[in-house]
Amino acid sequence: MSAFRPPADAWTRRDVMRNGMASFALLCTVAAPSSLKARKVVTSAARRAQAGSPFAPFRRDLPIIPELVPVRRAHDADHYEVAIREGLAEILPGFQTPIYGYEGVYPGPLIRARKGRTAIVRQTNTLSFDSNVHLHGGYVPAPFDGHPMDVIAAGATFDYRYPNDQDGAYLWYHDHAHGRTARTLYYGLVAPYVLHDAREQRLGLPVDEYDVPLVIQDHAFNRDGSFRYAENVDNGFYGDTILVNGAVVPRMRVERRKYRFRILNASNARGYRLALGRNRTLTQIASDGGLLAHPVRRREIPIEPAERVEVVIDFASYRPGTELVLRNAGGDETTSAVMRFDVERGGGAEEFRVPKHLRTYEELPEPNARRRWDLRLATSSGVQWQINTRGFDPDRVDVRPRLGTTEIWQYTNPSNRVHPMHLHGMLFRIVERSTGVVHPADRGWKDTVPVKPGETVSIQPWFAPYPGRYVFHCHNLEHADMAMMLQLEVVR
Amino acid sequence: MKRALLLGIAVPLAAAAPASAATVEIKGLDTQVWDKPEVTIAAGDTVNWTFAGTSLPHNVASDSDNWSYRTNAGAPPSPSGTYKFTTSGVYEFHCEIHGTTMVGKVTVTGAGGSPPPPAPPGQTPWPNDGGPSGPAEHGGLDRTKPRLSGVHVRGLRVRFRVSERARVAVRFARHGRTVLTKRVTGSGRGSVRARGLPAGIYRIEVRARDLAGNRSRVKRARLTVR
Repeated sequence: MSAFRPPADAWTRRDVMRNGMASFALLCTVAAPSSLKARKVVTSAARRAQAGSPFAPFRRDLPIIPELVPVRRAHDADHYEVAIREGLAEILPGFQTPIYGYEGVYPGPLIRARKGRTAIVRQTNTLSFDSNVHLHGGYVPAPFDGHPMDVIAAGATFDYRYPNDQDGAYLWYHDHAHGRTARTLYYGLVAPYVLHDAREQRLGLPVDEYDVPLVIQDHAFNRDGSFRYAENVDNGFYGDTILVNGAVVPRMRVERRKYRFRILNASNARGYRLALGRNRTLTQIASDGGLLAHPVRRREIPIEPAERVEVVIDFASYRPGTELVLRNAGGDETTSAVMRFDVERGGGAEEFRVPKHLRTYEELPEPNARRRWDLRLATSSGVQWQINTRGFDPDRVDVRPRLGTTEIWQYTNPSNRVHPMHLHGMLFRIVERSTGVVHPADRGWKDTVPVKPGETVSIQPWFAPYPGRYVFHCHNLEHADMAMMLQLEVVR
Repeated sequence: MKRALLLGIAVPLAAAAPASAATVEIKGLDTQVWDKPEVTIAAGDTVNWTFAGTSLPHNVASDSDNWSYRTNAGAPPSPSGTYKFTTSGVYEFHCEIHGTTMVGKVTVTGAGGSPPPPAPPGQTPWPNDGGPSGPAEHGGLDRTKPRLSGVHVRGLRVRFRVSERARVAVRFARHGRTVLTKRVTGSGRGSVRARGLPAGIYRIEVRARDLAGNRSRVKRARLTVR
């Protein structure tokens, strides 16, 4: 890893106190360092003409998510300190939006971890209500997984130990206190966590400024620029404005070479069907659980809430000055464009080609149980989303798989909403779907699988390596808060 | 607003001879909106919320602080709700299940019928008015092949000119076998020098390949090493 990392050094907590909140907003809007070139003069008339709605797309450069620097590097672990606090973010140009954020920033600071090296994150909850932190997609021992009942009280502190004993992947961390995740994630408690390993380095995939994490969310706003949330337990919350890394439909200047984009759908409920320009090819190299076995060339990539997709896009084959919109094929007028890539001159000779073989997947042990989970809306007493006619009960363990075994879990969805089903603490493989063949890009390790209306999906989770209590739930957050979650205990 | 006031006063007069209260019906729809999201009534009137013919569960609940009301959703079609408003003011309501879009308000006018003050900006929605995002792509693939020109040999140096930034490969072949290949990246005028070649006549092939992979035509020349 490169030693020199100037923008990250500004993001320690000491500098937050010194520079104040405004510095975050400023630094967040700076584009990639190589794109900081002198622009041509813009007349005031042009600027006035451009000063239309703050929702106008492609007016801001993609913000770079700041990186968290460890406060201490011990011989066996990196120590980080994060304060969960209120903050202000400049999302609509000219407006300050109140948010809850890790270190008061939206999206929260990126933690860069290495396989095999423990990261200890000291989270201090300075909010007025309980919170906790769940590392989504991580193999984490049960006490540090962010179980909905393991909360950090207001004013308290907790040390999360992440062993990082898994292959490289794009993870994320967010609040998981029971019953309010829809609001806490919506108001900004979302941050990426990138786990690197030696295999990626050997493959020579794009790194540093050409390895770009993207966090996509949809929001709605009030007239004073604050977030507007309204509950919809049936569909989930759908906003009318797409934000990428905290900016409204931004643009990014790219060189004529290969980039690696790590895309996270952190929306409450909205799924996207990503396509590039006029259906140009995207090369998907990784899913939730890290690299796929082979790269998959796709023209449209569906991504539901909490899923991650990593793609390599080669901009060398486009003319300089080309503008490619990364669009949402299923969106309406205001949610059709996600961001835009502006191809510049320059690029240089590049020897890297995406290798045909990325990773070898080990054989799983034979499953020793089959379970079926029925996903349904119950309206008899109040409205509640349920799995197998039960909602979440922290005092009841619904399934007890054995440590080290695999099982076949079948999700059936007779309801008319998509349910992205997520399993904490463990990863799984998708075995079959009732709607057709499992797509090659879904054959890797996953931690969230979207179950469409009327569909039956079979997955094979591997209950390793830690015992203890975890949960599994729908990641449409409005459904999860209305109790679409069950508890499992991995027993020895 | 004036028209609404007139209607509000006209309705009770038209409905019955004495000044008795009127009833307004608001239907909840499966398109997750109310058929009449804003109604204006007089104090003493009743509002009924009905859900006949719906297959999604709905309810109605108060959304502002000046009243408290809630129905249970139950199995579709959900049971209706009814409320008699006796005090003037603005009463907001919503369906708790579809609260994003199924919102509405009842404006109750008193004897004077003064309109309520506007809501503060922090609670007024600002829908996305950014307009359409335009075409999905502007520009396109780079299909122009680089053009080589002015390929000539002077002494041991092969000179050429390439029209755009490209990797130029110069191949030296003798008796059908490639003896040496030199590569250089650049744009405009360029040259390579053949060093250490044994004496003889060499066929030279110059090819250019740009960033997008477009290849130029081969240009040939001959080099004699004495």
